[in-house]
Amino acid sequence: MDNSTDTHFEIIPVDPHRFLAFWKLDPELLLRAENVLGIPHTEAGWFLRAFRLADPGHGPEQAFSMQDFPITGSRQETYFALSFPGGFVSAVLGVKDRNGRFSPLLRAPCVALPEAPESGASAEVHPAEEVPAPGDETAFGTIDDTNALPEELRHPPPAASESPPEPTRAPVSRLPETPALDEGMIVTAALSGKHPSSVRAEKPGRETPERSTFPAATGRTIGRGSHARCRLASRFDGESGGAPLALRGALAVEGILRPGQRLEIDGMEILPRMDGRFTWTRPLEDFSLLWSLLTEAAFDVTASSALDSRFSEFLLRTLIDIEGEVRDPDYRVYLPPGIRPDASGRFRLIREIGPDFDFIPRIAPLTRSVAAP
Amino acid sequence: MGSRQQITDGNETRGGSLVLLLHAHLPYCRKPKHPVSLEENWFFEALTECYLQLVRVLDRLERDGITPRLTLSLSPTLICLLGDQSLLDQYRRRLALAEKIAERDAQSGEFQEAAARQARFFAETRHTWEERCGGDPLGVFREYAETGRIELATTAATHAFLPAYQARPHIVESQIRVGIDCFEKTFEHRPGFFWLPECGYFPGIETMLEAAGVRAFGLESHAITRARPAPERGVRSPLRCPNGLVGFGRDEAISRLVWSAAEGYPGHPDYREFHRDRIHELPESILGEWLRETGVRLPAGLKYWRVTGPEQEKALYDARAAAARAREHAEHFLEVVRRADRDDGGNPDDGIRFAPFDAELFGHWWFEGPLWLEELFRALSRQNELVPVTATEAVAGCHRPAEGCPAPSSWGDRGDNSHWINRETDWIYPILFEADHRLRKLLQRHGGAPGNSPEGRALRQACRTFLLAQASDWPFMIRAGTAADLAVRHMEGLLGRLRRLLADLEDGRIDRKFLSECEATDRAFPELKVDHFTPARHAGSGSPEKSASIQPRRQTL
Repeated sequence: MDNSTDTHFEIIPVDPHRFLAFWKLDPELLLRAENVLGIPHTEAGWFLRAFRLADPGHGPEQAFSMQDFPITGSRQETYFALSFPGGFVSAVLGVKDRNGRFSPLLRAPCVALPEAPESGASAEVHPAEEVPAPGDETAFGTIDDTNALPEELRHPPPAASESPPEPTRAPVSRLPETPALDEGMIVTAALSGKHPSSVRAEKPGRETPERSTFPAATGRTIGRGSHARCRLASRFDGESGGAPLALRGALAVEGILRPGQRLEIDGMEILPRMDGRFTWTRPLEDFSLLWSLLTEAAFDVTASSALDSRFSEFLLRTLIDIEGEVRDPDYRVYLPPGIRPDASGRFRLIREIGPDFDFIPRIAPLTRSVAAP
Repeated sequence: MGSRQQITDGNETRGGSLVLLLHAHLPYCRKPKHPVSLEENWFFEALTECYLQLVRVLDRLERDGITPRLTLSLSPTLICLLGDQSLLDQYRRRLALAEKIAERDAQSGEFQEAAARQARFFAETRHTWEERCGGDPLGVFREYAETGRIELATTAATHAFLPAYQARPHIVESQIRVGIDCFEKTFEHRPGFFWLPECGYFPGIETMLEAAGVRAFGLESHAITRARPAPERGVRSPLRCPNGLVGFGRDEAISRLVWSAAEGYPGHPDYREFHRDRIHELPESILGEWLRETGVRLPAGLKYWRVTGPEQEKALYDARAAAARAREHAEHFLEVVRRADRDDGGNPDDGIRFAPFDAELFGHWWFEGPLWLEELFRALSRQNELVPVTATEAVAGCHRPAEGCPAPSSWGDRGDNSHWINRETDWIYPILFEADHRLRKLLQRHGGAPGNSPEGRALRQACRTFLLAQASDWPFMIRAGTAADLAVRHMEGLLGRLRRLLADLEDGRIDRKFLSECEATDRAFPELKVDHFTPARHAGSGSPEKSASIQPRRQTL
């Protein structure tokens, strides 16, 4: 008997922010699933939706935050970084149609993310609250053994009809194409405080002081314009090996949509909860870019803890969340003032990007309000 | 097991209690086709330097009327190794050979005194093995446990890192069931204390432990300090979970005195140097039968030097100075704990310091560790401020435990799961989860097959191999980079055998020769029951408050 086509979806907790997910989906099954869900294969985008739950017995409708991650491939093993640490996490694989409506297919059992010991991470601006998840996942489940598609999948899932009413919306006109939101663009804009289109060149970073005691070089630089060279890493695991410094980070956008408002970020429409709140994150992985964010002027901006209305009627807040680990104590001197690692060398920085940073070209309203707030 | 009052024989005590736990564990690895393997040599080294030295420590304390109240956790895989007669026969030969080489080296002149001392050590150890233990150290530990001088505990069957499998509760449950079954068969009672491998805790596991009759388990410090709610006195408070089981949090501050590579006692210049082994310097004329037996210069424990310092050049070991240092360090440890108690305002009722250590640190990595342990128990017996208690005594004597839910955690280097689940090791888990899926189907199909039928044997062997492949040791080694290639090869071997066994069962064509080879190689848990692998009424991953009633949410769409 060949089991190579057995569908499964599992998640394993790794650290306070991350889980490992792996899945294997029978392509034929997926095609059938997409069809019965009413989503043409070519227009369906596959996503992993992660839910944070207060209790493992809770369903997605009780989740107090969620994140969507675009995925590819019917068989994959990969890590997912959440913007907020700890708690119970459940995940669902599903598809989104062109309007961003998510249809769940497979659910992984809930797991508890481990917690780290207390750290002396610098207390920066934290999100005022986590953004609740939409409550449209009541029919989620796990396909444990899918030699055949579950009966329910042969019909549109009840979740679609049981979704909370969405804000009244006007007909959607597609936005003009904008450049893809990449990591370099985010950092460039954050550092310059300008829209990327107006940024002519990368801003040189503050030079890292050279010290005779700096560890041996292996080729990469700390920050742009730095003279110091060393072995570095952009992740905590795997390739970072014996690197003296490790960073990981994310850009997070959170906010509230008023009735009738619609918002698209990086080509995907945001689907808010009934009360209009949402969150969206984008992992940042390149070490040198993260290092620049950590050390440079973006963080000199006085942060605001309240949601502001910088996008006219939209209430949004953009945050950079960087976690780091100094594995070699000699490298502590390179940290910018105000970053105080704990005894194990770890630190965390959550900073709001200032209110004038209209830097994300892929954040755009789909339409203006049609109903009064 | 006595209550606190019995322990102190009516003496008034002013301080708290100390739960000292040694967790003895080695991964199961047999290589019947090799004369001897590095993995089997780990076992031989640990027997000589750790387990038999512990027997000697207990005997000396017993002779002097001192009751140590030590908690000794013996992993099921170690129990299996200690019960493997062919391995023990090999050990007996190896020990005698090591003694002979040390004697020859003593005659060669260069390190006469050091080699003679080493030869005496081997001779005394051989005497303990043959005369005191009769080749069965488990019997001695059983004897000490039966008279209440120590408490025996155990852990998961193959020391799996259990948080990795929380989404498949039946895997966790089979690890617990098989582990406790193995312990019970060996020691004729169920353990009250369970060592969570790598201190890996996730909410809901206490429900599975409760079902297995366990009363208490060990946790990393921040499982307690970040518990909900967090106890006011931190790790000094045992934490009673909502289902009544008690978790002890490792007291990191006092553990560091022993564990820390930088500050810990074992690195003192007077102690025996671990890394340099004379075996690598001796001519073949002296090694003789050793090389014929082992084929290679595997570590033999011929260590004549002391730590000395960070420099390469090492001075010769001075046993008397090292013993004095061990005594001094034992007294220092006791004083630090007592001072910490006093700084905390003392607590005569239920203040507990939980200090768990790997047993293999004592004797193998830290040669003077057993002596330090002995001196510590002697020092404890001379005062009544701090009372040594076993883990279940601590539960019984704990009248005011904090109540709450421990935080998910481990004692990995960042306190989370990433030491076992990372980019070097994450290839292992999808294979295991897929194997679990297939195994469950096969259990339904062949679960009733007679145990001696090819299907019954193959199914049992698949279950056995599946368990062995979950051991936390191999991913740990891969991540740490210590013997990583060996660990990868071992995992690939296990997973390869597992896949083939599953495929044979699925195809209904059992290759008997292959099956016999698997049975000879992966022969742990000879009386394994396949019904331990049948998903039961477990609770799944759940919060402690609700885990008893939570059923896994596994609906189809």
